[in-house]
Amino acid sequence: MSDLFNGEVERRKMSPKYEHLKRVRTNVTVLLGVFLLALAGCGSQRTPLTTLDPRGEASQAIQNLVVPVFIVAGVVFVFINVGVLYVALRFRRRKGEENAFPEQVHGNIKLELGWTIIPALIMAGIAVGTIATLITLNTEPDNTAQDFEIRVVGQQWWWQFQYDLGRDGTIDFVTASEMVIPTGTPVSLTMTSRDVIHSFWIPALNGKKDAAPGRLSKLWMQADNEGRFIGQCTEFCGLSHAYMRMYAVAKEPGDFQKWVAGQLTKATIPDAGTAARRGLDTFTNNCAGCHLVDGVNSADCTPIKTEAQYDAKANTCWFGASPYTGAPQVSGMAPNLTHLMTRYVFVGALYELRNVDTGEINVNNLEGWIRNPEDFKPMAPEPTRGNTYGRGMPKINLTEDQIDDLVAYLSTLAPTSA
Amino acid sequence: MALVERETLALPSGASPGVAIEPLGVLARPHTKTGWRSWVSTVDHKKIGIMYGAAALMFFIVGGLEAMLIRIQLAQPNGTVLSADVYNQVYTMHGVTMVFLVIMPMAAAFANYLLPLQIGARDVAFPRLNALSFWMFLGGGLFFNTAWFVGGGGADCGWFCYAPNSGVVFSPTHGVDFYAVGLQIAGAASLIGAVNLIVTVLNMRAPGMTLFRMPVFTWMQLVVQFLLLFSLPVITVALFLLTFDRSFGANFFNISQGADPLLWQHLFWIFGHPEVYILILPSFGIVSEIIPTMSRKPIYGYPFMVFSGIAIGFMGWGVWAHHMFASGIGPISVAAFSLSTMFIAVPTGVKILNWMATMWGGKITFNTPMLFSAGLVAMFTIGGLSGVTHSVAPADTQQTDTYYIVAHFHYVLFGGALLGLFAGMYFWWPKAFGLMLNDRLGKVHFWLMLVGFNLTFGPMHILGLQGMSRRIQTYQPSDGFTFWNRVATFGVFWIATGMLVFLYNIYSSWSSWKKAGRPNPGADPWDARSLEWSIPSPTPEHNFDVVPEIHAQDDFWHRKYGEDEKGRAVRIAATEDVVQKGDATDVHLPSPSFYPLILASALPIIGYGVIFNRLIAIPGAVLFLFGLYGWAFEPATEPDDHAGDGGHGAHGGGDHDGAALAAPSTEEAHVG
Repeated sequence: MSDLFNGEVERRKMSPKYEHLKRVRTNVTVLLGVFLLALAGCGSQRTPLTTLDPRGEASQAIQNLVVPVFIVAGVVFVFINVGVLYVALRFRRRKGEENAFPEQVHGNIKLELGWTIIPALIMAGIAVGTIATLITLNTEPDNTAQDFEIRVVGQQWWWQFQYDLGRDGTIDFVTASEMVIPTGTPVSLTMTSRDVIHSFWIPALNGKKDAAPGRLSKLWMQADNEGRFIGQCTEFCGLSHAYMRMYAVAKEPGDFQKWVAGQLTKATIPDAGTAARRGLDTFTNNCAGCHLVDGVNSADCTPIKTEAQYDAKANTCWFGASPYTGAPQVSGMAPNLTHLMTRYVFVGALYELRNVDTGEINVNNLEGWIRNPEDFKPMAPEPTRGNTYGRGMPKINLTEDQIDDLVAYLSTLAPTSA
Repeated sequence: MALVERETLALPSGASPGVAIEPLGVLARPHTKTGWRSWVSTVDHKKIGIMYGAAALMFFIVGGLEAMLIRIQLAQPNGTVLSADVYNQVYTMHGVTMVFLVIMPMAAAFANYLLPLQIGARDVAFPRLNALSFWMFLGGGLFFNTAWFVGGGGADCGWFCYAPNSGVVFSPTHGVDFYAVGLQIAGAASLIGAVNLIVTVLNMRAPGMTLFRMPVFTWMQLVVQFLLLFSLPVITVALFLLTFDRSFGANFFNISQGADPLLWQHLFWIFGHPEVYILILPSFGIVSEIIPTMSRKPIYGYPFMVFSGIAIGFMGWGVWAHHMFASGIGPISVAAFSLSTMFIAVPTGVKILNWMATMWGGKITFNTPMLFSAGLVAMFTIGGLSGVTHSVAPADTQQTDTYYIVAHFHYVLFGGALLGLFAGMYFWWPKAFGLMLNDRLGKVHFWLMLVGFNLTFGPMHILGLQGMSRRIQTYQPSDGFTFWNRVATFGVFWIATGMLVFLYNIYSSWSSWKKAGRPNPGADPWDARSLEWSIPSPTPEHNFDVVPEIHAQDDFWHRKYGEDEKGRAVRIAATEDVVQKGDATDVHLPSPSFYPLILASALPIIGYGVIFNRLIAIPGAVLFLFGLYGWAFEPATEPDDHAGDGGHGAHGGGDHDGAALAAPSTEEAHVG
């Protein structure tokens, strides 16, 4: 303490000349501090899509690789840029040197070899880590979930998740916008697309993988803890590319099993005479051409009337046929709505469907979307050159009463147990 | 000059070539040396170079305005300045314009103007083809931009234009058609130019100008021309496939007919990655001329500079799939391309360290060209290092298609290529126009650019790591991207101000030069090293009075300076005594011609025909055939032009289209 005090006294004794310098230095320090604080303040805004906050094994492996690479790059950056500044200042031509000539050096073989070989060695070091991590990321971990896998299907402009329970090649149920996975277990994903190339990216859990039509590409993901991890389509896919988002939702294994059980149930028909029942009629007449509700209609637009029809058809129709083979939309089927109300987001995972905390339905969003979809995101629902069908949700001109009924019906779409 | 001994094409009949031949051209041969006619009919590599530069500058303003629209749109979340549709067009047109219509032609401007001068030639090997290249590039570029007005909007598929999103189903306007046809025309122009310049450099060097005495700029441009020669055919094929798909119902990229969506990606990037080096190597060449001149030292490690450029050229062919690490090409491919990408950093690093070593120990004059050059060394390094971070494939799966990549390639293309091109403009402006650009305004221009550039693109590193995707027309307030986007948008206005200062500099330097009685800056205002500074400014139409004989690398410097026992330069001759006077009157030059312009202007018409209605293509085809036949029947050189032949044996490059290769072997420098 006394040392500090003495130091203070020492400094006060400085000559006025130095006092002046000190003041300048203080001013600069304060300015710099304010600037950095301002940056930090603004920079500390929450960035849910950040690539630098891994929440799972795969993303952690990437982080462990990239941080040392950033450090090496940072050192080289400082070396070169400080070097350029140093050289510029030290060897600038000064007054009176207008006719001065430096020694005419043409080169030095040893130096040249040195700055060829040393960077090559640094690169070789980075290469070793890169290959090791590549192997990790391209090998499904031993503890990968064996009881299910997910097929991730991109289309303009939303994501569909097809769950294959038992990994036997048949899809057991589908959902949209939210991919639910159990915590702690690596999950095997297979990407594909119905139309153009998309790219599936949940930055907190793993890097991206393209979802390309006619191809299957593999990726695995694991989340350490429960949470909702936002993602974004990152391959340019047309008009609404910016609005094509998704969530990976990690649930405790028990909750996950409950969720799976709920998804496997069928929708129930609302009681006659209720608003929801009128809404179902509106749905059947206006929406069922593209949207499926398991137990109500099938992909070829025919309402399902009997249990037998359901068994015969639904499984094969759920995923929609190829857009090129006659499904009503270029982008394939619209999202399956069977258990719509188990999700919290809709419209490319961009808008709130239900409050994450309270579960309350955001009726404004739902009504607004039905009333005029193009207010929510840009789409091209009208037929265009070379395309008999539109892409995206069309405006269907329902009356306000119909919209109320429809919302009442959609609000019932959740497993009864949930 | 071995090429010039043939005077006119020998007739098949065996008629003596000495006999004056009546020109068979339909159009009167243009003769004026000034006025617009002299520009549209010119085959002079210098005028063509200047036109390349002017056109590139014009497109730079267009592309820059598009960039400003992008930044204004992204200044706040949920931006409403541009709709998603228009945004997609604007960012696509910005990218294509900047790559194909700004940096490539600006580099071509320098190549055209300087290559013949630096190797001691009077013109390029095929002057009329050179004019054709320029007019085709201009036609293709203008054609591409007319999509805004007649195509229902610009291309909206990104400069990479991935299939199947580029198909008619997903991009129903004609924008992508204009992309495919416009780039086809501009690409063919570059291909023709590449052949022309390769032949020029290999065959038309002055006596004694061996390959390893050529300036580094000439070397880098030679490498670039080879890259163009081999990469453009690949994009040509890809663009034809796209045109066939879109305009003729073919199925090359139709997935439902069995196409593989990765076919386009491979074709595009096999072209696209060498293209990156096509864009950057000319600027590497430019600063390799400026740094030694301003440091008053020879380039450090000349052979290493040359070989690292060649190495980059070769290795540039083995790294294309690093654009596809997330495409699902399989771990073996990913690993291979990851490694090749890492090691291409080595020759690039060699260049940077050699530039620093050139400056080391020098007496550096920090005028505008040198500032821009030092700026390139510092800024390109940042782009190179971020490049290394995504050669690490697993890291790239997090970074690719985010703003981190946008930051990376802008540090390479703006911090590298563009700063270098600006350096070159300030450096060679006196040689091209006979007046210096104002150095004080130039420095203002530089600092505005440097600060603005870092404000605009520096934050994009952060945005990318924060997860902001590319090619999105907006973002959400909850994404946390707002602050850094604001900074980036703020920065773009600095860049725009810098550009205004540059344009003002061009104007004010010219007007004050005129007011001061058009003082001549002299042949060698920078005390420079290569041959173009040994002839008057602006360059006389015939370039060299006498084709110089070359005895060393930096021959011109060594005519001015010797070395004392300590290795310091000592003046041995006054500059005025070693530069040429530019007063030769009897130099034979290739004759101007209208046909390159006619032939080139037919192509966009055919393009409209392909896109809209085949009938439109008919007048285009007629015009094309007219141009072709007119060209073929018009003698390359007018008989009258031979009147003064003899003298110092002075001949221009001559237009020996097709005949040049039959000239005596010119493997090494030849004696004229």
